[in-house]
Amino acid sequence: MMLEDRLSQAIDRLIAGDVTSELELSLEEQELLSLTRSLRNARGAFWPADEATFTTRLLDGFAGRQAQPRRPFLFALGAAAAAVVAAAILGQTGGRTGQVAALMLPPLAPHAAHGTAAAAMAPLAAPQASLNKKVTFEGSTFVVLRIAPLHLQVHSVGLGVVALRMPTQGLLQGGEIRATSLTRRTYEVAAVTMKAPEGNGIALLQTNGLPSGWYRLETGSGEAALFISSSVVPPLKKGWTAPSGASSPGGPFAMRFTATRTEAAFPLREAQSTAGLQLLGPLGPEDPLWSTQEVVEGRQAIVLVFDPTPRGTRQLTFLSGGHAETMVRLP
Amino acid sequence: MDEAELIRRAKVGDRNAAGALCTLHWRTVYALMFARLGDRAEAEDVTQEAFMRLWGAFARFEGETIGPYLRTIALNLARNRLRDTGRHPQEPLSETPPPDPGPSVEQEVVTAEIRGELLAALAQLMPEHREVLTLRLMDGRSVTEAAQILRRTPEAVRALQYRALQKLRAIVQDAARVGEV
Repeated sequence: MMLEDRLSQAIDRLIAGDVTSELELSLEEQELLSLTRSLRNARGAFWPADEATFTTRLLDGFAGRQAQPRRPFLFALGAAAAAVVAAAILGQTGGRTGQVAALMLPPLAPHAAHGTAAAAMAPLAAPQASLNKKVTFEGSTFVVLRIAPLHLQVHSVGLGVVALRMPTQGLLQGGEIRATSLTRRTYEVAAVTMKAPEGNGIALLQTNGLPSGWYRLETGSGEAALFISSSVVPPLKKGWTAPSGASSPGGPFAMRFTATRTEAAFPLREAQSTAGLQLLGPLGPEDPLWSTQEVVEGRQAIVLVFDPTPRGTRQLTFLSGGHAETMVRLP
Repeated sequence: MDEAELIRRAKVGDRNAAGALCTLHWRTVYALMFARLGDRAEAEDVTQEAFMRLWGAFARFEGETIGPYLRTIALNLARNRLRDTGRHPQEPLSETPPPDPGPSVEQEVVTAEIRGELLAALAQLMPEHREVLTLRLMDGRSVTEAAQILRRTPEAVRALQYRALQKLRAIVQDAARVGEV
């Protein structure tokens, strides 16, 4: 039997979970089989991190095209507890001061498409914001923000520009994206233009001069709500400082919005672990539902989710390393 | 329920049947896309887009299995993605990989590093080598199944698998030598 065949049989046994003798194999084959075993053991890192969420994404287009009529956008906005994914990133990219952009799950998502009471109680979809890539487009650097289970992905932000990445068929005919203000009903967004699709499907929305607020964004594959802040963020500070009551502890600061929840992401010092971080409360009914860690622009951040969205200014205090550190103001 | 029946049901809007079709095929498509693109996030995006295109054309789909159709779409998308990536290359923001969310005991860190090195080595292989390894070792496909998917003979798959492992070993050994310096 040839080397290739013997090795293949050994691999078949390995896949079947048989770890018995490899004595018939040569030293080289044993080495290759050992490598094979390591690869096989590493396969957990190969598949999508959250398979359940990922497979849900695969059905998004099906829900929109096969089974259900499109629901009115505002219905989906109201049922957002079922379809919670929104994200924002604010930071400095390419030397520019960032703006805030938040994206809500399009109403064609499975939970919203059904719109039943049961669906409204569906669990919070785990956001999968991945911020480990950047792309240079027309001379500007953008952080690539992927938000599963969206198939419309908001990417980063330079001053007055929101970069979107989407499947090429996710555009209206003629390559158009339409945006309409949700907060000013009569205001049609004339200033939003799309400069792509080009290259890898990144579209740039020019948002100069737009008032802050939520915008309804329509593409061929669905709708999304986009939050655009026209305010320039205060200069970012390095690391955390003593409690100041100021709005941001510095560093990239991200918030997630939905109709009923707020998620806030706070950057931590680069070397700081969130392991010893505690939220000092209580905030009563505004206690966070949960918190988790994420990486924002390559730095660890803690993300808090509130339900319902707190109103007014709230100072949150964390205990880290035995002393309280600065907090954030919730809008 | 066989796949043809799942397709029939999905065509009349049965979401569960569509879900079963996804379950049946997504791993193979994803594995192929990872092999082609060498990046998990890219593989996720292209796999999703392939399914979106399938659903878009589903009413006109006539076959009894969606596998070959889906893979053809995905491979075309991957080809386009690679071409476009050449125009707008994406780079890592940081050399530091994202931290694991779980408890960071030393052994887990070591294991994660090894996994990361292996996946990085895998990404350096030629696409055809990655394809055979991802289908066989990640997706757990038999030689016969991999041969059907890759449109090769079983003998060719065995030979390709052998060469792929040899290349991978060389890459891992080179990386280890560099690390020792």
